[in-house]
Amino acid sequence: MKSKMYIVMRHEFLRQVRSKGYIIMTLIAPLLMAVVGLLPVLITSLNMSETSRIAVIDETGSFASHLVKGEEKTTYEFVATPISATAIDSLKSLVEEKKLDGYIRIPANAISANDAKIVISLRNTSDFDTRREIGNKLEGVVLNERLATHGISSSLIDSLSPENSIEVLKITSHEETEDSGIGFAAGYITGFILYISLLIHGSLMMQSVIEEKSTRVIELIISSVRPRDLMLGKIFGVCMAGMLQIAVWAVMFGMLSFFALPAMAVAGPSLAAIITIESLVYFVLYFVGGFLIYATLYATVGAMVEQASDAQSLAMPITFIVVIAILCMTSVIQNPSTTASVILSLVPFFSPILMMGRIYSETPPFWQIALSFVLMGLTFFFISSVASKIYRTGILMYGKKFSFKEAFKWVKYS
Amino acid sequence: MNILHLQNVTKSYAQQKAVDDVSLSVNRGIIFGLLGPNGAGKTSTIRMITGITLPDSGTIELFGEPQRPEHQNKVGYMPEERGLYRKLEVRKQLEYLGSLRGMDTASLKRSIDYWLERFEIGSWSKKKTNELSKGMQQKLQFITTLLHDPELLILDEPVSGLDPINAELINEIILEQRANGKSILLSTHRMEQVEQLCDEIALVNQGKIVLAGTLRDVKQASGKRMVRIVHHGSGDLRPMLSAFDIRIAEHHTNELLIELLHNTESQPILRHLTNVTEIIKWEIVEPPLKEIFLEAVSKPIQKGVIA
Repeated sequence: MKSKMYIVMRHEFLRQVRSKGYIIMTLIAPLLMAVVGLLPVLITSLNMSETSRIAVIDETGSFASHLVKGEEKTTYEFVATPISATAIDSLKSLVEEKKLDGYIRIPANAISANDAKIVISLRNTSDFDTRREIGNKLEGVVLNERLATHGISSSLIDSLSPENSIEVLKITSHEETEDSGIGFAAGYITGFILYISLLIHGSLMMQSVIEEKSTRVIELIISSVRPRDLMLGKIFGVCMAGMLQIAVWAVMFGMLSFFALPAMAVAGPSLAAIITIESLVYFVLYFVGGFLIYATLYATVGAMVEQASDAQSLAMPITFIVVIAILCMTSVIQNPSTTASVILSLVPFFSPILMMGRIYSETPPFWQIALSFVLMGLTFFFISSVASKIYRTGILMYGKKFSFKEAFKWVKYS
Repeated sequence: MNILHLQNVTKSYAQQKAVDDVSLSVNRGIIFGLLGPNGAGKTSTIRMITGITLPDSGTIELFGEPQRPEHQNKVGYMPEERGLYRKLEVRKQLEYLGSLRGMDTASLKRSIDYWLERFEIGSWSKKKTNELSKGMQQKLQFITTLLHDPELLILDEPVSGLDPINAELINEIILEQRANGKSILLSTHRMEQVEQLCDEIALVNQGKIVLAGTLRDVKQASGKRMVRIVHHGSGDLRPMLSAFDIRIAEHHTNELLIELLHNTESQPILRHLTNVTEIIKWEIVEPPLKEIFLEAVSKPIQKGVIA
């Protein structure tokens, strides 16, 4: 006879997989992720095409030859000097009327004296790109002019400017491979996929528990199945649905990289180097581990509340833990071997995201990976036994307080 | 053989004793009525029998053995709080709930086909549960109770919310189950259903059994003497009875049910009434269960004892 846990798991899996939400999410999530990834790039490139107009009040008279329009997005317009106060006022009003984006005042002693202050007045001072660009440009002019006064010609300066290219290689198992930052990207993408998946399926898990409770079907179910079998069956079912979803995403991504990436000539070989069989195995294992832990937590919350609206606040701490992991991710991937990174990535609630990130950026010692699995296993064992006690009592509590005494009695019944 | 046996079962929630030292036995092939007002402890008792909760003390035996989770496959349960998966198709609903009671695919299919046909909802098997009318959902709930051909049926208010035709169908099936040797534990407020169906009853009040036995024993033990009077015309006879030591149990347009208190004789009352109106029917009747119920339930409160 099939075990009841298997029956629950099968039911929960099919129920999730057949739901409209699941199908829609499976199909559009990669699209959403692509949009989220590409949008900042798109916006930046749109902004780049807009130029800003800056008036220059040059009292030294030596800037005009340097500040010619080049590739920069700033055009400089020189104003006749010396300048009167009324002319400055009219510049200000031009800025206010948005005919100008700002003006620069360069005092006569700007090149000779270090304490001479060059003032850049801008309408929008939070455009850091423009600020940096103008600042660098002006510094360069001052430096060139000063070098020229010491007899170094501008052609000599140009020929001495460094134009070496710098290449970064990644060292894995005594081999150096070309790295275009794809390890960082892979760690980041994996982390985000896990993050999204944990949150989606965690809350689906919670809803499924709450639904059984609010429709009162739980009373019938619990008179047929032991609560622990019910809880574990649900968790495994939801976990499998989540894995199927990620597998579909992986296939979609694989097809995309097969057809689109070669065409764009982007990072083909290094991507293959990063996504190895080994890293895929780790991904699946961390996914399962993270899933079991988080689904158990969400199931417990579901058992403790009566309505979905009550669940949001109780589920908040769980969401918070996942968010912390995501916040730590950048720093852990950039500095994978520091003590802080090692400790953080060993915390069972963080391991699925952070240890995975470390595996992509700089494969950690095997004992750390093994230890993280042991810790995750222990954590799941511990929280699932506590959770199933809470679950047993919680699911039948309609407007009653949860008691540990009752929960303890359930433990003896098996 | 005892299908179900409870021995000194006690269950408390917080400070409240929901079930207080309850002992009862249900034999094979009988319908056992568990009666009592709201909050008397009926549902708490049933939840322990179905293995949902555990007694604080006392023992429960099912099918002659101490209670085990495996017994759940031989028990059918219709909770008072009805509950089904709303968005599941009727057949899928039954398949899932039946498989959770340990049924294999083949017998499950046979059983589902039989019961859907019997309740005339076969054409709805592809519909989602929440598309069904309330009455139909009720029937579906009843089917989930019967699917796995349980030895013990536990029915909490099985006909509430059903029209008389469907209520009659349910009653008919309950009797049929008894004829097949199944035992039924029926929890209900409907005294007419109890009188119609039950072989034995236990009346629970404030967590304790206050009356128990066969229906006949309980009625006889009550010692009540009651008379049903049907009279002509719609005049109210009650003022004319004020001189007698009686209690009016029921009064309708031209019908009265009275209880003779103490040593009151019935004949003087009949003679008195025939002088003032035309009596169509004068019948010494068995006390209706409802009267016994009301008396048993109100007793401790009259004494001012609140447990």
